[in-house]
Amino acid sequence: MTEELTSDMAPEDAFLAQLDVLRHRYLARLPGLVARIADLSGLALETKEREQWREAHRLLHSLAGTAPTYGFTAVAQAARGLLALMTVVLDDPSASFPGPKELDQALERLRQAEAESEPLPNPEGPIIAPAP
Amino acid sequence: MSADPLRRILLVEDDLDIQAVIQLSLEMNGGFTVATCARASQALDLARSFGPDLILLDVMMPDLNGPALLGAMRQDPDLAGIPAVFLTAKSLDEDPWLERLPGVLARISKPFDPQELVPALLRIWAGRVRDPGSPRP
Repeated sequence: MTEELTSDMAPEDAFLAQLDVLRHRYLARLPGLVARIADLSGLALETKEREQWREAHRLLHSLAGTAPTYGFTAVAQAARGLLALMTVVLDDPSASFPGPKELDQALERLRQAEAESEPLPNPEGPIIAPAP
Repeated sequence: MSADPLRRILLVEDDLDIQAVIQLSLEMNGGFTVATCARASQALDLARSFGPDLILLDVMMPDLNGPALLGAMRQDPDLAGIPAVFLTAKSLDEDPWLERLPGVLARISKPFDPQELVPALLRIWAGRVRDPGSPRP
């Protein structure tokens, strides 16, 4: 969406149209974000490296806060489930990392929620292609 | 109660996806002039040059968290009086002390409805109280 396309719209419609652009961009980036979280957390589980775990936790925390703001509530719900697993390890240095199966299940729920995410309908606004 | 209008907002938020939606909402729905930065380490310089009426501040950031950044601002005479609103995904139960920090007007919880952000912020701004003992404006 460019400003030229929204310049003749009512302010509220222009806002919704621009919001739709951001939502499509975010949706296009979700698979990469989820893959990055899966890579980091998987690696951290193998090496028991808390800094990688912390970085995966930071990305998940962002995902849990941002996804529902764009309307992707199922992604946020799955992210919060995984976040709970990861937080225990960060909050308590003596806590054990979760088992691989437990992590895989939580990651799979996140992947599934991401794969099923669809752009929210915006019947009043123009059809907008995702940004490249 | 102060009648100073809210015009200029400094947004400090490391998540660029959420930063984009907040900036869009503040500019298009609120008509505010907005400056953004993603790193707490950039925020002090930007706050000095931009001169915001209000700082909208993320709590969890990788280089320095929001409360620590706010503490640094309170040590700077040029920035000490600028009120702040925190953005946080944590609940009131997790961080009950957040609003009690000097100059903090309120918290806005993530996630939020982008269409409700500006009305919420205007309510917060309208409800702030002048207090000579605090750094609020």
